[in-house]
Amino acid sequence: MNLVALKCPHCARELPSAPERRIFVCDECSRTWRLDSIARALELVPRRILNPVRPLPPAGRIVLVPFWCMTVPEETIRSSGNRLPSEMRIPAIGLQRSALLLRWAEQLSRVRDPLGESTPWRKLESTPGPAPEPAEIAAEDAYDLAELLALQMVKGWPPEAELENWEIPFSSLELVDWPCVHRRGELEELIFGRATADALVGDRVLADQRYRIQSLESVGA
Amino acid sequence: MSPETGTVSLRCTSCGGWLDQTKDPGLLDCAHCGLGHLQLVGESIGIYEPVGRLGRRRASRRLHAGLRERGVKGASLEAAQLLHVPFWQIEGKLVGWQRFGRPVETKVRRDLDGIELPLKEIEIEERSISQPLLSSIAACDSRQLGLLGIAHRAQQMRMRPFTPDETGEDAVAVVLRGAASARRQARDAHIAKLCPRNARGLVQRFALLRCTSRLLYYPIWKFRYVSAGRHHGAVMDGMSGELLEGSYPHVLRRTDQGWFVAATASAFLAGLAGVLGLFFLGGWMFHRLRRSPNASSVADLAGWLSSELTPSREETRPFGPRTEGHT
Repeated sequence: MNLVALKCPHCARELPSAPERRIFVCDECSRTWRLDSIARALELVPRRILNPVRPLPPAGRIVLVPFWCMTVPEETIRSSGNRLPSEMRIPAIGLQRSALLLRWAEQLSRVRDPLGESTPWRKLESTPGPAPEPAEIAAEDAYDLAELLALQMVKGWPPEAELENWEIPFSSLELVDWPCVHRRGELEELIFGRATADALVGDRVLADQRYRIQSLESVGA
Repeated sequence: MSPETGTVSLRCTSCGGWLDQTKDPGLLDCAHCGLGHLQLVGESIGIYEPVGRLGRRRASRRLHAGLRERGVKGASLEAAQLLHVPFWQIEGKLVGWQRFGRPVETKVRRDLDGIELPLKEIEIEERSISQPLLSSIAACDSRQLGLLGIAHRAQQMRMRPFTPDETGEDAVAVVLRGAASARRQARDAHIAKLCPRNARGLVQRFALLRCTSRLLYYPIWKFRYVSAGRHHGAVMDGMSGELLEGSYPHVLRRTDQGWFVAATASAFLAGLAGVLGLFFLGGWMFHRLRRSPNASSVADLAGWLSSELTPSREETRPFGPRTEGHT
């Protein structure tokens, strides 16, 4: 039996925990941690903020919603008759409203455009502001959700008999923070302009990151 | 040793305080400094036992009380052993979709004779599913102990970490089923219940998310006791004291002789002793002989008569019915 203390390996501060959450964010240094593959210690999860493409609206809270992004291999896209998107984008929060989560994930995954510029969190270490949002959905669950969604999006592929166990060999899984504006009961993302009901996040209050987003330019993003 | 529970507990890596269980089976908090810890065993699972199991004395008292309720008196206990039986507790969220065709009566067609025939069309339906899953799957052969699952038994119980290697004289059943297999079984059993009615060509895909599994060692008391010179066994739920499996002697009182005596006495009183007495005796013997397993053997007639005319007979009965299916 092994015990892993939930202390930030970088600054030794206690990591806030929540039931069934296996991704931890340090309030002090804003680093994100998860268990390493042999479950012996915590390892760093690289994380970056997507630069908003749309102008920041003057009203509303600017929040960062964590997303898991993973690439669909070319070969798999070809085998589906080019009907699969090249990247699956799964919100890492809101599992309690899985229908909303999957609908938003589908909308964002169907957009073929790339996500554009981004800024790693380590560049923002000196910028004061709230820590990134902890991801509620672990990477393994994100893979499962992405497969679930991809197979629902493409009808008639793969053969029905294999549908239940078909695996998509996703690559380059990455945790990104997607800038969104939270206003009038909606969460509207600031890259493609797709919105979803804010019921997705339930009672959770996402931190206002307007200052941090505005400072992205000053750090050379 | 924990002063509170009397069992081996886990210590905080920072201050050495006792670690308490949280709602999350894999997460422990230090009771002293509050530092969280992830408990990892093999496939990242926690191992627990319920708090407040019956001790040997209380369990023996419950057994005697249970036997008395069943009319067994004077049983003497020969042996009692506590057995820790492993169960997988699987918890998670099942998310997925189903696509299927459903026959719908849409039109009425008239055949050549003018008789109306309903036309059925297949309507394609797609639905999303998101359900919590909580299931308990036996990690060893627990059926012989009268237990198939413990989900509802363990629901309201407080748990504490358990170390199978440090149980002293108590026996610990071996884990024969792995966590992955238990998760698959729990998932498949749940999906099987979601199959829509009248579905044609069902295709579906599910994912079990946020799945946590913990190994729960459930306490079972195994008894051997003697009653009226015969050996019996009993298995008791170590938490509730419910008798799950085993047998007890049951005394059957005969009413046949009473009816026979009553009939003969009535015949004497009525002055029909000869005729009615013979009639009843013959009828009764014919009836009993037909029902007796020794009816074909005339040589055993004496044995049959003696067993029939004894005032009571003893048989072995099992304890109550099995109460639970898994999940």
